[in-house]
Amino acid sequence: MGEALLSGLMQVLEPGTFVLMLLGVAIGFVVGILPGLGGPVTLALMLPFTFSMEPIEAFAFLLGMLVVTATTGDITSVLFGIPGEATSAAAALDGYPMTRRGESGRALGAVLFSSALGSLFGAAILALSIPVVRPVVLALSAPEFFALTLLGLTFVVTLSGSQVLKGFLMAAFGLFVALVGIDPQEGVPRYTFDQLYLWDGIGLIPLVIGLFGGAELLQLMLSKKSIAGGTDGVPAKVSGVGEGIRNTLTHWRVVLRASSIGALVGLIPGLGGSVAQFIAYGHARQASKNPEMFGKGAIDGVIASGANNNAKDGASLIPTIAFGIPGGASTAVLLSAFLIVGLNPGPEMLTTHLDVTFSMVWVVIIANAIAVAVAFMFLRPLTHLSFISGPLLVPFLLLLLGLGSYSSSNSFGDVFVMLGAAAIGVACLRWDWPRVPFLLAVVLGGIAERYLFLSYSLFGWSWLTRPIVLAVGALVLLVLLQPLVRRFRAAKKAPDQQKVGP
Amino acid sequence: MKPESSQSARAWPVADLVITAALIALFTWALSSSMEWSVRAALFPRLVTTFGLAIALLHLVLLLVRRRSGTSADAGHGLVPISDPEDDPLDYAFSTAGRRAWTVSLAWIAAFFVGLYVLGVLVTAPLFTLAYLRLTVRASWRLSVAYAAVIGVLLYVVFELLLTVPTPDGVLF
Repeated sequence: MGEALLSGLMQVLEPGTFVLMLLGVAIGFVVGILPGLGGPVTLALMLPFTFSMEPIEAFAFLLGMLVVTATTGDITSVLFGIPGEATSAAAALDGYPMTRRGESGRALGAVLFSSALGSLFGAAILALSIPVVRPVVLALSAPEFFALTLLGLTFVVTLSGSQVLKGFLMAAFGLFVALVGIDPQEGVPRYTFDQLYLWDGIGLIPLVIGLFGGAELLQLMLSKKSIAGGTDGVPAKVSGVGEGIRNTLTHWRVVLRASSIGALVGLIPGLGGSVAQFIAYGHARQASKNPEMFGKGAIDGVIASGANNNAKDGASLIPTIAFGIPGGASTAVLLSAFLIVGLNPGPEMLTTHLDVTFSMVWVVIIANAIAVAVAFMFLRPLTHLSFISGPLLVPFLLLLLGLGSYSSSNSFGDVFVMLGAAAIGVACLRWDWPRVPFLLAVVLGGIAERYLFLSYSLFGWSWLTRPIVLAVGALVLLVLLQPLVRRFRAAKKAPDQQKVGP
Repeated sequence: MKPESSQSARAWPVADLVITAALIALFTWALSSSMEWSVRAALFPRLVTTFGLAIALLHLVLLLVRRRSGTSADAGHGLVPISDPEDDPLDYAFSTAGRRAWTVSLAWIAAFFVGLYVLGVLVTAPLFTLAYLRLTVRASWRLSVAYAAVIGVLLYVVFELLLTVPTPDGVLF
């Protein structure tokens, strides 16, 4: 195994392969920064160029591109509040308020450094799991996946702040939005208003762009200030980057937990990074000493998002490599690259082609390290963007919103979805309704329905008694009951304090 | 900014009431629509809409009850601690901007997207940039023209030539 690990590294470092990886990194860097033009779309566009490549060259190029989009997508989230990728939405929740406070350097330092650590973690999980992955993934079936999806939904409680009931209402609304489209069981069009566009359901990318980016853009137009509007102009130098890095190191537990969540969710096919980021964010909030700061610029929220986003990429390769089961859209496209270069996912990748598998581990590590280093080099100009007068940025940001939403499926329907989501985002901010539970429910709604039906079709109602389902069910109850317990404790403490007091 | 938090204890939380009522109407309609489908297609929608309807009705009742006692609907029902986060020092412009600012901003956004639909992005983006910078930002002609040109060239080079990603064509072009 050690020999294969070394052989994988040497092959990645071969000049031809390395140059291809650098090319992939450069493309991924730009694509990640541009909202809407996601990793899967770019992977699909670049796939034809891999026909004549050797397996390791092809994966260095494609994987190098894919893992970097997650890192640089966070930069746009932090600087403009517009997620560069659907999986970077959580980074906007606290990164953007920090930018508005004039702490963009610190936020970028934290998100980039935690990204680097997260990718290391994900790559390590990928490398270490190779011998043990088979029995673990085979132990899970549709009922367990459904239970895990429900667990993800219960994070509405922690993501709603003090507005839990509103959070549940927004989650129900999100689940309703997820229902729009052709029913996967019987092909019945649901809530589609006879519109062909809606048969495919509501696109996640335009929804995310509108919900977060649209609302922030309008805010910029109304306030007519720079993004860092509350601060005293452009700083002489980018300050706070070192502090952001130090913050990441002091919050090593957050990095570790968020990376673990990212790796675990990445490992489960079908859940994907959009889910992982909010579970990690919700958990970071739950574990934080200052949960009230979340959504207003909490550094641990930024760190959790960065670490999680990158850890999931390495782990999501595990089911793809070992079983040919793609974890999400990106790995589904990557799976086709296996076939193009003449490889079969499965046991072969863990035996005869182990060096190719390990070369992927190295690509994840090296590509992310290069992307983070380049991003740090360009931090000053990137950070200065947040001090440019807001109205000057409006045409550029409007263009990003329009193109970002349109290019996800080349349809004006997506632009309308983005505008609708922007209206919801504005209403949420204006009247203090939480946005994140809505998005989490949209992401999880379709997955939950699919696994529920699979569970019932395969096991009847007996799936409810499976041990892992029961264990996850208990965890769900625990999360749901937590606010009640907290309130009970607070109520119990109050009379005690009154007794002690004067 | 929490507009409701500054209202007097017995003022009607109009926005919350309107949003909750709208959600009740939505879930009721969605639930009744699902009655026309087969059980397999309707099971999950019925679960979701019944859950949504129940939560929305509970929220409405709590809004009305809490208004009398002067607390928020989310407070005091055992789901959350009764504490409202401090107002965000950054504040959001939505609650402070005047009617004119709203109208002007929304008109610009509408103009951009109507332009996108009618003229396509390659024409709209530079035109919009020039018009917005001249009329709203009061930028100089030199800056406005340079910015519009950069946007146009960037759009063409990055999306059309390098990435070859389809960009929105207008109805006219």
